[in-house]
Amino acid sequence: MDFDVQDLYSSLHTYLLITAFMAHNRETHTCNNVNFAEALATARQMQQNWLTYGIDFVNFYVEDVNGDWLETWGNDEILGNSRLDAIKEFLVSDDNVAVKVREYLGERSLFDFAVSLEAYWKSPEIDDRLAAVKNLLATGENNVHKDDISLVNLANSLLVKLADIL
Amino acid sequence: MQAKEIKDKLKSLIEQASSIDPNLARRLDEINRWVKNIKPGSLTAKPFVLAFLLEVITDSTIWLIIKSSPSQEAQKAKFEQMTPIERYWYGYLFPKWINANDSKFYIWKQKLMAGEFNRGDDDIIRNIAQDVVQREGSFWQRYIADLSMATDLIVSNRHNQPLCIQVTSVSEELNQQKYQAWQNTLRSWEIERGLFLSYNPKDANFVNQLVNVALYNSDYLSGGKYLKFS
Repeated sequence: MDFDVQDLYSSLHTYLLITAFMAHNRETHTCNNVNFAEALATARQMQQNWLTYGIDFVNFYVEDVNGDWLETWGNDEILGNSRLDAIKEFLVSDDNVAVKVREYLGERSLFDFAVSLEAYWKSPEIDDRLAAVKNLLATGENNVHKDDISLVNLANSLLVKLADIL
Repeated sequence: MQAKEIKDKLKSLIEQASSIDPNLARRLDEINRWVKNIKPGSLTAKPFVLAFLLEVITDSTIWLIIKSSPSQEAQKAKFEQMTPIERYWYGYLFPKWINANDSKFYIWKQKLMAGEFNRGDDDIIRNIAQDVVQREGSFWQRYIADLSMATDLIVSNRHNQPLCIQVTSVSEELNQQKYQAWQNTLRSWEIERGLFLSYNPKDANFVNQLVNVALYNSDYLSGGKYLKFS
């Protein structure tokens, strides 16, 4: 395959921009227009590479296309965790308890919440779980009393749902 | 980068999306799990899976930047930086894909799990796209559109009216049922018009002909029409 060196640099540059954006976004959760223009340029460049080189364009972005990455995709500990998968799937579903949990969490990370829930689920005592889930829901909320009835109800409903799916 | 870094990117996007757009987080999470279950059959499947993942990562990155705009005006300003065809994708079809109900998503999942990535007509689609560009039209190619929306290519011409196109060779025996299934798929995604192109590979001039039809219909095909051309 005969790659144009200029294209290669350009692809590498846009790849670095994506990475930079992701790191930046994790910290601030705000994205500026520069990021947007760069991300859009990345999409355009990627499509241009497809237009010129066909499916071989992936070689610009990935070094080991035919390595064993697909066979080993599930080997990662967290990603291979089916309980965490089930919790995450539930939390983003249309179930009304899931909707309430999302409303309750507001801007907080659903992913982090799922990871903590999964960790607490290993706790052997049911009472512990209720306390843990209440604490988890209330974390970062300044004006919430731990025995607030809506909080207790939500934690209870969530535990019932989790018992169903796990 | 190494292919395994793609998984890290996906994870990072899932995390970001969980607070910005939970439906996107859910889609990406599903993709992650499905990739795990793809049976790596032929060698050629891997580049297609990677192309698909690179595309999903790129589009999700753009979407999350748009969704985290500080105001409606800022969001609008971002769409204004796009070409009409990009606006159609990021402003209309991609959000539909993110928010699609599960029954629609199921077909897509089946295709993904079966490793139906060897798009045999990839080069023909590319030839069509190249010809579109040479004639100053524009195009958008997305594996998501191919897998779930029965759309090989989106093209637009002078009037900047993006048109979804499905390309099939004559040897695949285009029967009425197949055309009907394509039309139903487009309707279910609320894609308001479309072009179903069949070609004869023996005809030396077929790319040129298909592009003529595609560009013309992009400008003039009315809403509610799902045109079959062979």
